[in-house]
Amino acid sequence: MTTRPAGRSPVHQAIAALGAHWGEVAGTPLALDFGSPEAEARSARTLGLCDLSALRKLGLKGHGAADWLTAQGLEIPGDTFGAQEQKPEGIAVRIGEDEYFLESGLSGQPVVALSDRFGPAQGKTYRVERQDATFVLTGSSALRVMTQVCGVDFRECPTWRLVYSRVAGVSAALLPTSGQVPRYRIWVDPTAAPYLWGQLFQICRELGGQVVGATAVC
Amino acid sequence: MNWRLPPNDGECIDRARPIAFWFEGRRLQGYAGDVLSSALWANGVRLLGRSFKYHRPRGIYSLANHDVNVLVEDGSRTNLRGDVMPIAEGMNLRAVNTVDGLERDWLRFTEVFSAFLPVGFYYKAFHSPRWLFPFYERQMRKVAGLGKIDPRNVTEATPKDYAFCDLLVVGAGPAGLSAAVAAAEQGVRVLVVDEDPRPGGSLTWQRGAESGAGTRLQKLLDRVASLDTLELRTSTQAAGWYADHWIALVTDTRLTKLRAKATLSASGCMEQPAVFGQNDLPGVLLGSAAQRLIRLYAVKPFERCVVLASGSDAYRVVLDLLDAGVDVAAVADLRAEGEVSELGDRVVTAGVPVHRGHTVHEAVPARGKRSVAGAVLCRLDDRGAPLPSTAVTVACDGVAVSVGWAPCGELLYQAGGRFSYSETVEQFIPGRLPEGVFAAGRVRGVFELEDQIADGHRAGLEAARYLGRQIETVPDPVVHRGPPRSHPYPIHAHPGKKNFIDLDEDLHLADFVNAHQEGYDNIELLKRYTTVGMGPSQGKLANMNAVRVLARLNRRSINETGTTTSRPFRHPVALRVLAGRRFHPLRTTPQHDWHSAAGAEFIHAGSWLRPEYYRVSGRGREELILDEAMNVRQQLGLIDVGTLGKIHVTGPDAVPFLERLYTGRFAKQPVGRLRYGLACDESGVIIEDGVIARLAEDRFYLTTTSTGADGFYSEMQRWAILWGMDVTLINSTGQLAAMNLAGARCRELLGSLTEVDLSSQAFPYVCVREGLVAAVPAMILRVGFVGELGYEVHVPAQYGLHVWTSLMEAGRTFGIRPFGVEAQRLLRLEKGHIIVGQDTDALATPYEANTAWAIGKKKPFFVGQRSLSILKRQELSRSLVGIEFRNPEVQFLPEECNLIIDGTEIAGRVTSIAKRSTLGRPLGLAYVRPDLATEGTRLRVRLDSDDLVEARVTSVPFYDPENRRQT
Repeated sequence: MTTRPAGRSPVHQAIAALGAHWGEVAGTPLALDFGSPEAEARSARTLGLCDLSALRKLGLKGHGAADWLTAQGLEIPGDTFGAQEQKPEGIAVRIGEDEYFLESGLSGQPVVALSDRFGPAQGKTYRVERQDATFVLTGSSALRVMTQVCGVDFRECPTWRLVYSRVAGVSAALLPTSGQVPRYRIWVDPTAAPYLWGQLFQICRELGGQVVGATAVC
Repeated sequence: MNWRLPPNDGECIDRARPIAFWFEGRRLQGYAGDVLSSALWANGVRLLGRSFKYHRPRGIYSLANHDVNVLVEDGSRTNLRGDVMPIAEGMNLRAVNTVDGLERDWLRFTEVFSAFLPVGFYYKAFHSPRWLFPFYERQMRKVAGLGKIDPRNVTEATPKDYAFCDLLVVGAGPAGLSAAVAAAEQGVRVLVVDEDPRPGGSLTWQRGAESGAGTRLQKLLDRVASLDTLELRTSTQAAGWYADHWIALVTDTRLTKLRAKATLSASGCMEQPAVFGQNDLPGVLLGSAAQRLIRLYAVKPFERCVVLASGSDAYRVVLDLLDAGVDVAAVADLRAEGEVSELGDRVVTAGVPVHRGHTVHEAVPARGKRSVAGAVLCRLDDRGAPLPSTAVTVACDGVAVSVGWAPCGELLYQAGGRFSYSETVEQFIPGRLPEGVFAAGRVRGVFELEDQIADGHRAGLEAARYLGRQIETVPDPVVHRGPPRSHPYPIHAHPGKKNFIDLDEDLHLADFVNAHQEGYDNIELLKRYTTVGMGPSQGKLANMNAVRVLARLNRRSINETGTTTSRPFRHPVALRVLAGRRFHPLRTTPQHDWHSAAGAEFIHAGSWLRPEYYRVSGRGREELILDEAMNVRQQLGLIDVGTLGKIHVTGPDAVPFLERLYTGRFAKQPVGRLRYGLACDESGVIIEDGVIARLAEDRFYLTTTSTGADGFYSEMQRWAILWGMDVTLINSTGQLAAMNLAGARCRELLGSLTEVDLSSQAFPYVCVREGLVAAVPAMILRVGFVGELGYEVHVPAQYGLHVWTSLMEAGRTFGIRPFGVEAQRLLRLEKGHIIVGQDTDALATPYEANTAWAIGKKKPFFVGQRSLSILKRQELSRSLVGIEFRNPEVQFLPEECNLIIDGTEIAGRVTSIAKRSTLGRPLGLAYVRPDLATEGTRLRVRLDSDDLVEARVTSVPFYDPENRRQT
């Protein structure tokens, strides 16, 4: 009973049905590819949808959150809704005046370590349970999907800046990230994730896109 | 005979791709690029549809989707418009609104009775005797309407999307393209839309037998293509304008919700009909329709025709007809002076007889009334009235009507623009336009090609300046020069014939005269009484002439007469496009897939999908629900309660915040204990309940009802701000999975998966502990909602399935089974626990719902306290009581919400009912008048069948009142 069991992405079953080749992030299965990594890499440039829900997450809220994170060696965003890539992996997002959200990279370890170190609370800073699903929409046609599900003009949105909006009718946080092709990271409540995945999957398929593994986008 | 012309520059058909299709059972052939109407005309088919009311034969009229003469269905879709519907291989089409086919159509005999069917006849004829109305209604429904919907068809999920731009330009004609280029050159992000499949507007079909227009268009399009900030969308209708430049863009398959910063309408004009006898016969076409046939589809419109003219555009029509090899037998020019221009000279030089000051008085039908055999020309007198004595019949197979234009001003009207009638151009033109709305080209009454381009350039610059671009000089608006392009009154009725004004609704001139005589002398009233403009084409070809007729009948000017209101959409939009892809968000718990595999029947609970019960082959719903409940009572049950609201309240002010929010007290709640929380609104009405766990001095964890979580969390945030309290609120509803293990042996089972001491001494009833369950960090809440020893286990969502399956596997030896929402409802009812929202309503107070025990005494404040203190001093109007039934037969038991009757009065209502319970008898909860609330009182409950059934007030809980099962 001492070893933490495997967690599960909220869309695990849908991913498994596509024939995923699994890796893991701190014990949680992650689809690395679906048997054709080269084709998936190409799709990631045109239109790909990826589930990265296995990445570890941590939320902190309270007056001392910024100080604590800085003390742990993280580079935290200066502005509310700003996002900052971390070294060696992961993302830190400032989602409120005193609220931060961390997401790991493929190893998951830095965030797991931070999470263990923090505990339930540190002074007036509190842990926020974050089990959000993470989806990545990627490729030159990603904007065409976004225009069907979200009323935000992403052509005018700066990259690495968080946008809160409704996506296909559910509240979500979106982060346009920089790169060779448009890429949108979508965080959504895990209980709405299967529904949202289904919508995005259908639209991507209509537009000639496909589900890609983490290898294609990480 | 093949009516197809030799290839010409700019035709939009692909002769290399022949397409076979079926129309009314006939196999025909067209080309890719043909619309249905053009393909039929090319095959010599002249009867393309039947009119709405009299079922008169109809053919092509505008070929621009401005009329609905050609409406067809293909078996799954209906009311498809032949003017804009591309043909496709194998299509099998039939005209709508016929009985026994287009040719025979038995309803054509309706016209025989037309004298008895004037406008408004149904208002007068079918209201009495009243009892016959259902009969009338059935018959009217049979003959009214157009296409029929097949309810077996499955709706296509069409996409909807959003788009954004700085400037929307509506219309890709010369003015629109010029405007778009001018604005885009200033760095404005421009979107140009045009409902036609190709850009160019009138340049694509109105040539006047010249080729210069094509060159001019190509130059504009080349410039459009070179500008990165300019996007052009064809086959896209700007269907409606809404506040703040929200514009609905509609294609055949998609609705796009466009948000622009400014709108520029260069939407052009619609050619208008002339009114004369039998002006609806197949073969009577608008001049622009004839030009479209020639230039776009390479189809010869007529062999020999007469042109009814009233401006230079009519002479362009003549030249185009001659160019296509049509024998133009005569031009009847409504103007006494005729066409004084180079165009007029060219027509005369070509040897076409021009009759100045003449009209077409009647189109002469061929045998069967399905085509034109001739046109009767009459000279007009000084007042513009036809002189029958001068009548001359010219043999021909068609009449081209080119007497004027009306602006496509719908979007400008919807945006709040005001139009006024200009006698300079004899059409309405926009006057004052709202901020950020611009107009250019023909819609403003500017017709000459170079003028349109200049006016577009001017409007584009104006829009760019409005959008913040630095532009020092913007040219003045272009003003039309020369004679008007429209005739002020192209209505020359033949007294013995039907002279149609509205082709959609089969309204002819006499209908308007009659309506006016009945007092409908206002344009809006006239519209509603006659239904002019209320057909599928929304009066595009009828409204202007209706206004002219009314103005003359009232002896007023057109400006005094006014116009009707323009509402979206410009063209009708298929409901499937409006509905689009449906976004109905659903939430599911992490164990959802397990429930599905286990045969769960799901129900919707707010946005959640929850297991109602688990199916077992061969057994019914009620039986299974009772079985699940019995298993909880006798063995062990596990229910997914992940849908419960789960909120963390932390911070120095957590206690005072909760004390204000809930009716109860929390200051002395020990760490590790649970308390029941009841929340009211300011009026003392119950809005929420749940349990509140104290995890630390400054950390609380509370649960709410499944459907109330989001609303209550918002309310908490509101109060926290209003009260200025130092609390941190975290909604963890979706982040945590939760399950409730209930039954006598649940301690034993849970103990096998956790090291938390579950003994009743270490972990008493209504306590909370944190520890590992199945190796997952968990919160364990000892609760008893279903009346048995029970533990709620809350874990991070990604481990929900693991913990659930661990419990189910370990519980096999204990006889564990999952149970659904319905079994839980039954079990809690037996225990007398209320469900907020089911046993309470929008008026229920704690005093009525018997939860006043949850109100803390001597509290300085909580939400609703003042109202409750007043209510406490007043007499109750109702009270929630338990009820049992003398007759336990299920068919004689009430449903939830059935009324309790005392004498002839309503004395209450049932809120919860269990027709079968684990106690072996039916039971329920009900609100009753306080004088009926005493235990043992006999009540009568009215069933859905209106029968009355007897019930008896009893004490609650029904089950285990001493709480022995929960220790």
